[in-house]
Amino acid sequence: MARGLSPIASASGGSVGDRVPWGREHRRAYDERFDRTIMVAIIGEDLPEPANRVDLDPALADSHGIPAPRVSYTLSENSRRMLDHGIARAREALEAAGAREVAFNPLLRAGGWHLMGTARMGRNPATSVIDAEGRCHDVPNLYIVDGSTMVTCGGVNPTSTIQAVALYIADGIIRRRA
Amino acid sequence: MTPGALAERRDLLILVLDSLVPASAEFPGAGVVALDHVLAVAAASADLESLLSRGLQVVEEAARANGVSGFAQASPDDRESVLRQVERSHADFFEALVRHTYDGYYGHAVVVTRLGLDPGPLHPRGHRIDAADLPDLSRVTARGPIYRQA
Repeated sequence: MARGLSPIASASGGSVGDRVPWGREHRRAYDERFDRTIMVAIIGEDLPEPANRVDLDPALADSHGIPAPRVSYTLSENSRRMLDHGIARAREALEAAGAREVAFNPLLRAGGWHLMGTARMGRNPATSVIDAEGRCHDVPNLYIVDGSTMVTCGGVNPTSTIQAVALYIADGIIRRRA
Repeated sequence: MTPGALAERRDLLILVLDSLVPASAEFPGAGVVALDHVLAVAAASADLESLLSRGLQVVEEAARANGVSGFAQASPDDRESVLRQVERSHADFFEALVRHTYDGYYGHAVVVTRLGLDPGPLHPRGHRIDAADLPDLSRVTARGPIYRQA
């Protein structure tokens, strides 16, 4: 699609789930929406919070008996307020642009979640997992190079930053090996 | 329900689909366009086939309860009224029915074309996109790569 939602997403309401009504009113309602819809996504930055974590599942394991990772997440008050703020601003922008109807989904559970944190970088072994070179404070010669070293998820896609940090840590490994 | 039970209710399914997305001057009804998709997804899932088949039975029974000999004998207005009743009483069935109907209908090449779009697959050439007034990107392209080869 060059613009707007695809034909199917226009009918189903996309991520908002505001489906076009079926029946005699369907064609008119669909024509009012198709190619006349814009979607605004609000992406927040969760603070590091103990309740949001990845640990080992006490019951679920793979075929070798290795515990599966368990992802726990609760939307905090801070995150909720950020999302509500963004939704309100998006509504203002859409209505200022002439939108006749604005629908929103307060939390897109099936959205693209970036699982980050839990192995933060820092100088103090008491408050961080790896040092500034990517080395684990507690395990000699162990480097951690992935999204877990970031304290929060940021508000945008993290891959470029993860790649940059990976290059930086790799350079250090090579330098110290030489 | 035995496999293929939904296909055995094909005529009733066509009428129901046509009530969900009726034909108009420019667009066909879902009974023509979405039928194959609905039957295909039902054939791939015994649970879905059972859900839809049982739901159609409920539709037929609701039509009879409204004083006609069957859904097929009801007027278009009465058919929609019956379906509204079933939508309220059997929400799971109706949710699945409408979702798969819309998927089949708005994914069909005939409908996509009438919406003014290219129905072809994205791969390998991608969709044709009309020229647009893009911002001047010469400064960006002249800048060259801002990454280094790793």
